Amino acid sequence: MNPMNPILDVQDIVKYFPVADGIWSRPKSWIKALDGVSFQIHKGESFGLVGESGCGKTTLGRIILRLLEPSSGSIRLNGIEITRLNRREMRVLRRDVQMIFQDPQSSLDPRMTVASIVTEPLRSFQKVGRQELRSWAVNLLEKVGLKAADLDKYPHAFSGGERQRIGIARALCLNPGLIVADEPVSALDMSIQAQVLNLLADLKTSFDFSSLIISHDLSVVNHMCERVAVMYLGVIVEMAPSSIFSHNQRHPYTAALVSAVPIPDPHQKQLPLTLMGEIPSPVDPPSGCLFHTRCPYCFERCRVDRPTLVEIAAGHTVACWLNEGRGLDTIIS
Amino acid sequence: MSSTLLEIQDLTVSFHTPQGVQGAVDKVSFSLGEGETLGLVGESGCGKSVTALSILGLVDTSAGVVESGRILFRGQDLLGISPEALRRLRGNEISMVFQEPMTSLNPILPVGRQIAEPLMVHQGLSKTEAFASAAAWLERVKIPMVGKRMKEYPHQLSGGMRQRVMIAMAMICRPGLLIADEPTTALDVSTQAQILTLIEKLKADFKMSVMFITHDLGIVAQTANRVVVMYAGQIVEAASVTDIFDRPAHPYTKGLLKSIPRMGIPASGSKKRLQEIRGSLPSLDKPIYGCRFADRCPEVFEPCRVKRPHLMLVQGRQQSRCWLYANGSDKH
Repeated sequence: MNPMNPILDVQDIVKYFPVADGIWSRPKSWIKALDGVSFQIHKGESFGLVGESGCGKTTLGRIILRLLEPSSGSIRLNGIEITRLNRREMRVLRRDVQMIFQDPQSSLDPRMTVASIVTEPLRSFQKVGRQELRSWAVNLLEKVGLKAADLDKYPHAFSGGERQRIGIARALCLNPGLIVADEPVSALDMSIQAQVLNLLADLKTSFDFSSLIISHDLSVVNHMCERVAVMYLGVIVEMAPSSIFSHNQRHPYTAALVSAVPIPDPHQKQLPLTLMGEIPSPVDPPSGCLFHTRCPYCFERCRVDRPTLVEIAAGHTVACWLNEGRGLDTIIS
Repeated sequence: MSSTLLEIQDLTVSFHTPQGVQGAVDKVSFSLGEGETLGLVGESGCGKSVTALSILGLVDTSAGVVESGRILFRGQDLLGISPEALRRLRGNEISMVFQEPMTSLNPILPVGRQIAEPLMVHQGLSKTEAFASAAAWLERVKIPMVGKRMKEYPHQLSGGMRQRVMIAMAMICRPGLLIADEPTTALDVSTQAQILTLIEKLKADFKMSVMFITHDLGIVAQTANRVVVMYAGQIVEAASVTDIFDRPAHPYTKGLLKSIPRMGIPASGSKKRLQEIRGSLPSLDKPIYGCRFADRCPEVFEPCRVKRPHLMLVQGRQQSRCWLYANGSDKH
């Protein structure tokens, strides 16, 4: 892992959506979906973004793929600043970053055969002969555990898990350096999830891509990723190796989130650190620390100043005033 | 354990569609005691929701048919009573909470009215009394600013709050049995924790039994006393929650337990592979000879594809539908 050459470098991404009072009026307020997000993904790394509704993780995923434009900030893919590229220039770069979507049903065109679906990225970029397309498709299908006989079938002939495999094959078509997966297994049954998770792990080894995994499911991200960022209301509150899911959470939100995941072991009865209240509206976010309204450890400074991400250990950053030398380590554990 | 509240005997439900008859639930039998939480676990198509809907007579639509069996609630067979009697039971003695509160709540009625309604209908309370009770319940389910919320419509509430409203509606007549069908699947994990804690507290305060339908083994481990595992319309295993996790007795249960990604395991090469269950659900529109899990089973042997296994006693109160446990007394 070379920290000098991240494959993806996101700096200070801000995204505000206007809330208008009608079609013709000026925005009366703004939905602050992302309010200054920065992180890097290194070559070969699997990076996870976790958070609950409204945290901005899906919006961030779309911005990285330029399916949505940021209000401000920079995104560098392989060192190239992509926010200022025009459509033609961006199209060239899209060879190198592909997406796997959440819903295997709606992410495949029902009127295209599997062969067309998985080779569409290739056909978008160059003219390829029919024979070559078919053998490319067969190769991809076999890599995801499907068969040559599936080439001419339509998506409806497949189960959810198989459709997700087709989506994965399509994402791998051009051997991208970065794959962005938004809830890649959430729509699948438990036994199928394991198949797809194993498949993604195997493919990562053989194709050697870096990945950004966006999910609300902490155990999936724990399994798939080496490093994770926890998001809340448009900002990253903690970023660390995925071991953080078992110990050493330094942000109260991360600790509460981890404690809330039900443990599949009846001998380990857990007491979730239940948070008070609900996630505030992104139209009217709290002053100071965005989490202070629900934080059991909130003190005066939290209401006034917003903490920034500070490195507290190698590879571990937290945005919380508790971590500024107040010696409160023992409270959260 | 205390007395049996609900006993399901050989319940068989199918759907009669223009394409043919599709089996959904096949000779399912289990019981639920007073004050017990039963976890009904399985994946898509296993029949857990259809089983629950059958209890309340909600599956008898134009396509769903209860072919045979008995559903005994406090000794009375719900499949034999009149529709009026069943309606009196619903929301009163047996209540149900569903996964998508937005589709279960009436979008054009204020929330307060929806909660108060069961009291006016089932217990003949006046509007004032019922509304006062509704407000008290909203407080009990920890909804802030109750007065304001009572007048709001479902779309004005968040997912977690809507689910609390559903729970308030389900609890207001103090049912003996609460059936919760994936009540937290659509919610964030922290909201889910709040709802699960709430259900536990209500269960204790009101001495209620709970049938918790879920695909999440973590929820089962944390909330259930007994577990019934379903696969392709049949019960494949039934046991106490500790037995299910400590010594699962069916290859499907074992496979599920090994295939879920877990937290708390430190990041290293060792966590890279999960143990999969190969293949996928069999199609149920053709009859299946032998065990329905045979094609995916790592322990399949000669009798499996030939003779359909029944539920066999493994030990104590643990049963498994698997020829591996053919010794010992049989139980249909």
